[in-house]
Amino acid sequence: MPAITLKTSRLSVLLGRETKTAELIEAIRELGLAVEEVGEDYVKAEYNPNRPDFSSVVGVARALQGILGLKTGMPRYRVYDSGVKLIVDPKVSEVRPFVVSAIVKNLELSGEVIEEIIAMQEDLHWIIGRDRRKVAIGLHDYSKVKPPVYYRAIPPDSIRFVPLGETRKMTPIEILKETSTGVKYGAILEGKKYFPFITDSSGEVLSFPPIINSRLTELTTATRDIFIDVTGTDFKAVSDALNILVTALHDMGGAIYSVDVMYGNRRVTTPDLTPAKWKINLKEQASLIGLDIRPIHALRALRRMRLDARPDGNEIEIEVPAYRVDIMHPVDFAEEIAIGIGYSQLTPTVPYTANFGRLSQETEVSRTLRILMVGLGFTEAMNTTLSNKQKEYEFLGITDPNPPDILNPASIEYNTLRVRLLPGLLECLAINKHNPMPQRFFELGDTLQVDESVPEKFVRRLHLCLVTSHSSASYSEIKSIEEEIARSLQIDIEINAKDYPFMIPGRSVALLKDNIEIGFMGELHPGVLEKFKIEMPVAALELDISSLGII
Amino acid sequence: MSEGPLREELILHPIEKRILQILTKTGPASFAVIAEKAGLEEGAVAKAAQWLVSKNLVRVEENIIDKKVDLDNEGRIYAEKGLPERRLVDFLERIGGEAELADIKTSGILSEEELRIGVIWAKKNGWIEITRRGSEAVLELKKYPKERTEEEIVLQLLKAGPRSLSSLGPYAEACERLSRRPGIIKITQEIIHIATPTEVALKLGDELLAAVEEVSQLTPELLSSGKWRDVVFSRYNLYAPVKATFAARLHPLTMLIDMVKEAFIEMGFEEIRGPLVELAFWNFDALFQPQDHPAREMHDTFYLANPSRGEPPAKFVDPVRRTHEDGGDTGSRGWGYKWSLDEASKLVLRTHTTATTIRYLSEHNEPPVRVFTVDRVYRNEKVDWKHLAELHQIEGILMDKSVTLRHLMGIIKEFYMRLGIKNVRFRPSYFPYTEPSAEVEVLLGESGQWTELGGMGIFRPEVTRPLGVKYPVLAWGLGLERLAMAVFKLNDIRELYRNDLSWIRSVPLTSSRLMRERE
Repeated sequence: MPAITLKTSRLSVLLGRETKTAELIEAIRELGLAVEEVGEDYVKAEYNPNRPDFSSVVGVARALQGILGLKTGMPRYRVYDSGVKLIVDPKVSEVRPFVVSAIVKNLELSGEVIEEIIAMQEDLHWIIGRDRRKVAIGLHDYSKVKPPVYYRAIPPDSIRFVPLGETRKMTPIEILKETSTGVKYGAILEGKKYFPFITDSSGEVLSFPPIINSRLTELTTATRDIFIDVTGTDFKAVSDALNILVTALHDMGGAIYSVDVMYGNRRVTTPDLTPAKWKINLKEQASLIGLDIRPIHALRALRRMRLDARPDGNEIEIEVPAYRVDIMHPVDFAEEIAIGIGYSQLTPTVPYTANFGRLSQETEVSRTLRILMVGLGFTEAMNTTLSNKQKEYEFLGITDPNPPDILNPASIEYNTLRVRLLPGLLECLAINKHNPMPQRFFELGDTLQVDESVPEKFVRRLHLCLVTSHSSASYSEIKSIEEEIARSLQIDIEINAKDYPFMIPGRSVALLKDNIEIGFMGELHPGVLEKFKIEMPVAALELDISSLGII
Repeated sequence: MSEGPLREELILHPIEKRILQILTKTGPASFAVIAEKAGLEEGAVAKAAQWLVSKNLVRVEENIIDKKVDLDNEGRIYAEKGLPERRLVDFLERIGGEAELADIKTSGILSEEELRIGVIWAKKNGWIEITRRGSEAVLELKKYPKERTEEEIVLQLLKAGPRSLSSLGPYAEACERLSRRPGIIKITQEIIHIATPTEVALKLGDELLAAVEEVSQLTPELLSSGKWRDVVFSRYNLYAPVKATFAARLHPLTMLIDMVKEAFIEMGFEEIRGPLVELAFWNFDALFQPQDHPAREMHDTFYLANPSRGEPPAKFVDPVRRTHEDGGDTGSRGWGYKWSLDEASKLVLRTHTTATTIRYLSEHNEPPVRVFTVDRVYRNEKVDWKHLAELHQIEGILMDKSVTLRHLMGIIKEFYMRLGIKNVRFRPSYFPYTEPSAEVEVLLGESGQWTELGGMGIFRPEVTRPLGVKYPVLAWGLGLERLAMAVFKLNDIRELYRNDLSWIRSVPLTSSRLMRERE
């Protein structure tokens, strides 16, 4: 989850009044941010990815002004015309089709502010840009830019420039191979014949999206005007990112200037900060919250959320500022009204309908089985269905033609799903080495199996497994227990002598019901016990409960 | 016991019986004599005699029979070397009958203490006189005692060992005198105890006094033969430590899951179950999670290798596709990208149990629907003290004609109340499939920490409309393991799945009470 650090001193300035951490914590909670860390003079908060406008302190401050009643209604942004053109080369449509641009002037950048802008840029790259794939932002010192600006697709080795953080001119190929951002994001340009570049009229490279900017236009504390380019594969996404960026820079003291982006003869002036207009039926949305609310209060709540709201007959007309990229459906305003009123003001109420609860049959049967197991003196273990091939197959000396393997395991510890419970219980005995003997464990849980007949191709089967471990653990002990289980459940289970690679030869049987194999039991092979690092003899039983006809 | 009250009162220990047997034969006897005849220690006889006294079977008299005299520490020394006053006058006699005190001191004949004692007694006896000559004290021998004194004789007699006072005859008085001087002799009293059987005891029958066997284990043979009446059961050391017994236990998570299920049953919800391996369609797409959402990527979700694709339900593919692309008929803007059926066909380990409730809703879209599930979900992330790759979620939905956000808060608050947790609060949150959304925080632990335990919301129209659901659906997903950590007071989430017997056995059986008491 993305996070932002809010210094109370900075907020006090932005809000125009003294703000202490306690008040700040309460207010950001009401907005839906989660407090992660509290310091003496700061609060670190996590925000949800549906509000990328919270990626800057000014963005949060803007929302806080509303919720604290300091400034309500929609903020309005004046956009001046810079007269600058950004010309798009049609060939970019093959590699990275869209670009939008803007200039923000009259900024005063301290080292801290630059850091904040870079952090915002990174968060937007992740949240909206899907890790730069969809959107990449370039920030430039405008004094180093000679308009008009060009967005072109150029063959990879026909250009050289000094990228940010380097000292020598490099070709794009070299950049992809030798710089850290090149290595990290190079895959986005894989297989492309042409690479995208932002250049200016003097032929200088300003940036190489989505990889890296040129060192030429690096932001410094001397920068007063910032030239912004946002490139990507989705026009709405790049526009959203630009809108959030320029409104934040505006709130930091800058003035927004538009750029005319020329797609051939078509001129698209960006940023387009025109507020979105929505109409909602108040009764409908308020009823979703459970409020019988007067229009005047709903309007007030919406304004506290920095929206403009006007009654229009039975409906309410709402204007939404361009940095709110999360509004998709009238139902979004139900939440805005609820937040504007304050969730802590909503009284929980229990809905009464005459309904009778019921446990699933699996649960009923499982409870009975657990009582039986505890009655036999077995303590319950709980293991994960995530397993690994070593303990499922290698240690037991068996193979499976169709194991339910994981495609993308994060570690070798979990690279397949369990098909039986036995390995988990053997591990359990190993970690309990230091506890007194005898030890008797059972597990009642799901195993996974391929089944092409269902749409999701895998089914879960409920298994019961028992292990008994002590110096005289034996087949006769486990056989006696199996007979008692069958007797208690009133099921006919037959046994058939069968050797398994993980059992001592001549000391194991398959368990059958109606001539179908449903399990096994026997004495564990010492070779297997050694692999699991168990130091006591073990006898075990495993049964597929799903095939007993009791569920 | 079928015999009369006499028998009931009189339960005699074998030792008591033995003593009574001896006394009825010999008449009154001392403990020492009884002990010798019974082959017992005198102490055991004394104890048994007390029991018999309390049962009115024996009378005990204490008699002082004699006094015993023995040499004490100083006495032993004087018996060898002579009393200090004797040594003093012997010295004076040898050197001419008189000497300065100081000279006697330096001579070393007597220690300073002995000299002091010797002077006192020699003077008392009239053997010496003390005069002053100048600044010095002078001792003059007045009468040298040629014969041994009575005290000296006593010391000699006692050299051979202790004697009874009576045996010292005429010298008894000298003993008394010597006993007044510290450390010379000890005079102790000798007491004997005489036990006499009472009238009651003499009337006891022989069978009662018959020798009786002492037994440790009651056996089936003793029971069936009735011979248990003839034996006495040894008394155990009831406080001795014994070998531990361990009850077999349910896993603590099972206990907690049972509690959770009970709470929802009580609230009128029906339990459902769904597949662990799920189509991306149900896990993500039907829940309006866009296909380029980071959570669907390799590093957050487990994908299955073989087979890797399944079959999304034909009935719902198109409505969901259109909703994603441009909002379809839901009134939404949609996500604005090209939706891929192949992506939706991928098989994943479900990342939330919401996949199961939405599946259920697609098959039951008429109100009311009140279902819940407590089941496993998977996260493809690194396991550490706070995170698991496989865990349980507590999921539920309520669909009805006019349910609201306040009802949702009411259900969650009621649920936690039934687990014994009274302090619950809500704040806004975000999930791609709900609007409005909320998160629930609960006050847990002795330190009173607000802990986020789950999320909830009302399904977005983009989720419900494509499935033909017309009414609001309240939905929630709460974490089980985080709650378990607080209830079981664990610092490491992995402990829940380690199955260490010492931990399982340490969890109180009444975890529910544990939570209620926390308030």
